[in-house]
Amino acid sequence: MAKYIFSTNQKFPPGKRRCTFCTNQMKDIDYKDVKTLKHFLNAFRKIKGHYYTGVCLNHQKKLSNAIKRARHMALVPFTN
Amino acid sequence: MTKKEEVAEESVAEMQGYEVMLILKPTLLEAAVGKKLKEFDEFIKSAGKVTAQDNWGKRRLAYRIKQCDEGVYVVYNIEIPPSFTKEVNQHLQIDPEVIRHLIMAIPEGYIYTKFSEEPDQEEEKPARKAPSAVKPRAAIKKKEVKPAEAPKDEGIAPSPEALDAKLNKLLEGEDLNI
Ligand SMILES: [Zn+2]
Repeated sequence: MAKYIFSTNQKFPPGKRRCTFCTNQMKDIDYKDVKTLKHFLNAFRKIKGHYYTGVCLNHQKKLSNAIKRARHMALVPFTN
Repeated sequence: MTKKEEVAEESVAEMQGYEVMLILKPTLLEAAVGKKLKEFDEFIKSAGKVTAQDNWGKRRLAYRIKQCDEGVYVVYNIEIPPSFTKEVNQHLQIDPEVIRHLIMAIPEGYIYTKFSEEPDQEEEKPARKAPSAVKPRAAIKKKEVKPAEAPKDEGIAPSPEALDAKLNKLLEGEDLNI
């Protein structure tokens, strides 16, 4: 749960960003660490596309599940 | 009774780890919350066991649920047979003092760290970023400057001595020649 490591891949262009969860060797994503989840949310609190964040498809699925759980438990808002 | 016996038999065969998160009503007093959690503990111990319990305390909700702006968050890590989750779900749905709940299977290699023991991320971030941003540039500048200065000194230092020696030789030679 305490694994909120994050680095924004801002130095790469949108198509060539690396998956932050693969580089940090995080197998699973926890719905309770809101600080990491917030990096992958829009200003409208929608989930960002993996083209812009660089998350691989395997982790994008887990991320979206985690965000939906966090929304259900009112840790993260649905809209803003 | 037959159901309970079946559950007991299954529990010996296979146990699965689950995480249960509850949001209780903010109007409850501390004693009432303690009572509620004791009841839930006993309910789960009838079929499995509780591995971790964590009370986050009163927190602000991201949106309003049942006319409540705040809620008391409680997290449980339990081990129960998979068939018992239905009953847990029903037990929590019926309860009027539980605003919302979530039951989730725990992935492999998951270790629960308590909410109060978590490190703050905000303190670490600037410390990490600042040196990495500053150091390489300064190092590069120094490196660029130093090698440029060093050869000049070396180039200048030996040359006057050599030139003097050459001049002396030339002068001696010239004197001799003349
Ligand atoms: Zn990945």
